[in-house]
Amino acid sequence: MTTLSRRAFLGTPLAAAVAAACGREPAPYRSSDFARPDRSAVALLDAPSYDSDLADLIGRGLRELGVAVRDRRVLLKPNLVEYEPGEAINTHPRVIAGAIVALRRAGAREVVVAEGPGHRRDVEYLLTATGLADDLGDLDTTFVDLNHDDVREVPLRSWFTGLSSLALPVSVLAADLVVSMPKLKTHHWAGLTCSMKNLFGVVPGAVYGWPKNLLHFRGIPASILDLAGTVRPGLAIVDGIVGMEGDGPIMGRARPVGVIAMGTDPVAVDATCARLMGLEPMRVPYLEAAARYLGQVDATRIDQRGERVDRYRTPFDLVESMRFLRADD
Amino acid sequence: MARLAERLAAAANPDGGWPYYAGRASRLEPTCWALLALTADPAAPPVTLAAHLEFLRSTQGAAGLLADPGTGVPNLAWSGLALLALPALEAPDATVDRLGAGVVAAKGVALDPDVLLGQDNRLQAWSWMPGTFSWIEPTALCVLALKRLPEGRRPGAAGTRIADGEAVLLDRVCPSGGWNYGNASVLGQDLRAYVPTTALALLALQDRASEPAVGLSLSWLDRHALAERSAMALALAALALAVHRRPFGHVLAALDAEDARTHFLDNAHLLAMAAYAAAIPAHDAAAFRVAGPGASPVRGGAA
Repeated sequence: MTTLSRRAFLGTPLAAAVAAACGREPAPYRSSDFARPDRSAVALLDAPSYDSDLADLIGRGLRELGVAVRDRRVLLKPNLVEYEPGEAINTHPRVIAGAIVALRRAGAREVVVAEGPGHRRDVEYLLTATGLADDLGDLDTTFVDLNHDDVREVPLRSWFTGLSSLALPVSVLAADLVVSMPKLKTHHWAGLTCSMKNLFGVVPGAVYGWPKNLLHFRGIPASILDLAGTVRPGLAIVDGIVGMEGDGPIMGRARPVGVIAMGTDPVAVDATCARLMGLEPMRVPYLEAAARYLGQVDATRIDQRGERVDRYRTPFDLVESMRFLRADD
Repeated sequence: MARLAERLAAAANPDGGWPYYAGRASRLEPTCWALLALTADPAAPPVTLAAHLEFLRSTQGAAGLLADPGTGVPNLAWSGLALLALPALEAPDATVDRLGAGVVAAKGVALDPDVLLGQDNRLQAWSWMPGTFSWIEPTALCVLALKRLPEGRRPGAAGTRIADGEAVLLDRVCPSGGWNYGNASVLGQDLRAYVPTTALALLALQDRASEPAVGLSLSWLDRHALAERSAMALALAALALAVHRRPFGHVLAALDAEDARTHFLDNAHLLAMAAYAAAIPAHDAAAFRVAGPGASPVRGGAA
């Protein structure tokens, strides 16, 4: 694990890859494999608390965004990484439950919840301690343990990490629609963790170790890019009702924002969430690279649905080494 | 115990291995734990070892390490676990010797010092997979497995590697006692200790009771043994407490209650850990004991 300040970033392999993506070197992906949308839509939905009618709210987001759900097998990938009573670490079970209900109402053939916790290896403890097991039981919904699922070797669609393939869970590969459901948090190595970084949870720990150690070694921004380009989540639903600031993704402090963010372009969703947190998206290394080929970061090309970003902008505290990401610096 | 063992025996795949979840492929970790559980207790259903050992042998690569089928990635933690299990199962000498040599040869990478992590990054114990950093769980399992190898079966460098592993475990102990997954602190914040990692490290350091960190961590485990309700945490806590001759009966009672509450997620790995732990009064955790002055058992483990 290494710290990535702006100065340090300039010397990393990812910086070279970003330079490549700018056209100065062969890019670590085939442009023909990616069709960056000309415009992307992100919905911000007012959710003052977890007592809000989240199924109704997320259903409204699905309609606003025109997400095709009918007859599809949907895999919800929340962020379930660690548990400490009272701490805002994980995607709240009520947001997950709201998404399950909304997607079923929209005609999904199947909805499963799947996660491979990246820190706490003990999934039985996490499921019961967080209360998610109870919610899933009430909704008769299957949980898939991605750390211990069967795997299949798949080629990566980009090579920022220098890896050509990864063994990924068959449940993820079989889903018609992967929905990334992160918690809105700062991250002490990556700046922020949102719908793209959340995909670390699909990498099976039983193969690559904890805390997904291979990805840390290959570089967190590079790994985010390769996973997002390969898994290609079709929808992001961000729990921004209460986020985490400071020393995230585990040891930070709760920060209420009161919003659910949704979109079909994970890059645009993460860029919008960065703005919500008071960060400049183009200073976030993985977003700077993703903007070249994977999705939209430019605010003028992101159609805002629902509420405006300004209404929820909440400057999140950052660890010292990540303060260069602030929009007001 | 008989009920757990019967459920476990029924969960085996036709290829001789056990999956994590029913209907899935056989994997190393549940297979090792299942064999430990089913062979340790005389009340368990009889097992035909040949097919199960053949599954484990089929996962062995050229360097002696084991890789889950279909992954092509050697796993140091499960290789250590297998090295712990196989000698007791009377596995072929060649398989065990190659595995022992592979475990001894494997090293986590050394990194430059980093003041933000507050630890000695140059120490090289065991990582989860080759080419990455050393972490507590693979290190604890490999140290314990090497310590348990009979003197005549230990690869030449085993003693040095055991010392390397102990150095990492002692370097990473949390200020409160116990162990997190890899670091004791990050960015100046002390990290929390967890029950499974603490129990595994205490098993690996069972013959180092005079180390202050061991005593501190054992006290931590005494206080927190019931704090994480899961098969993994409770089973490992019971094992560590039993091996360190501390009361563990209350932990087994909690494990039984956990089965009633979650059925261990119908996960064969968790079921196997629970089955092994539930039978400690019968087998004295023999497969996890290092021979030496601290090894005499306390049967029953009543609190």
